[in-house]
Amino acid sequence: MAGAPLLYTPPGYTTTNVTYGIGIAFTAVTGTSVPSDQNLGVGTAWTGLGWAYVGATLDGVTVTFAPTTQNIVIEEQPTPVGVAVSTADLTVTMNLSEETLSNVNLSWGNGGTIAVTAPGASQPGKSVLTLSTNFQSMSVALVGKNAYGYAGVLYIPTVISAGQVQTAYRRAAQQRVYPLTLSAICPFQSITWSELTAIATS
Amino acid sequence: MTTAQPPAAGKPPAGTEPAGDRQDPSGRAAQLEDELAVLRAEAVAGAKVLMQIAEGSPHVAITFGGVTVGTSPTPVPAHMAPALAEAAAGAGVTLIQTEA
Repeated sequence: MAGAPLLYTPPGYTTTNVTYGIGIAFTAVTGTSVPSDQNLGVGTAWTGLGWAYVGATLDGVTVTFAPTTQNIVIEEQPTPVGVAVSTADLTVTMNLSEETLSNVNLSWGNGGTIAVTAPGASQPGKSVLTLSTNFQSMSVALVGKNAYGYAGVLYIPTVISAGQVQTAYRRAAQQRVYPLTLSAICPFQSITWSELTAIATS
Repeated sequence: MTTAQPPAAGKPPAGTEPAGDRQDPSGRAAQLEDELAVLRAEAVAGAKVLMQIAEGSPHVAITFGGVTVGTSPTPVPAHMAPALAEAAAGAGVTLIQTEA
């Protein structure tokens, strides 16, 4: 007599959890508060609190988490008995497409000053970016739309812009872009990822 | 965004209640949360000082580290004030600091 039939019944999956779409990157002076939960998805709520939107990008925003680990091994066992985290690098990268002095400064370390002179008699209006290697830290927030259709926010309290920047001046091949690499320099547990899941009950 | 709403039936007429009660409750709550977030951030960030571009300067604004200072007194995180003044001087802009 044959036994019970052998079944192949994999668990279901949720296609609505497959998300895509752009992320909106904001930067601000370190310590700037984020909007209330109700307003996390409202752009003006961010800018009203002092956050600056980086504007258009060439190919969106990329978040990279790259931990390195150290295997703890013993002679008696070929597989590790433990894995310790050596470093945990978290970076937010993007190619800024809007050539503003603010963006140039941001990608070049955020250490420069931008002095604005108003137009006057024999004086054209001008803005001058004076560069510096005294890189300044900042906060960064990445706002995207989550599977619920609401805002999801990755908030890194302290980052520093210290990536390699190369900008090509081309006749027609593409716009000038300013690569921005923001590396987290804060305690890992101070980084938060918030997802709005439902509207308030009242 | 907070918008004023007409009073609901059964509520006292406008003018007999605090201004905050006439607003949409959820909008008012969000506004208060924003204000609270600012206060908490200020408590964490510490004191602020007022800085402005010195009179007679041809400059009207200077930005450093995400902070922009103009020709009128501008609140600046106290911990950034020395670096801001130094950076401004390096750019040929003189800043003055006033009492917060």
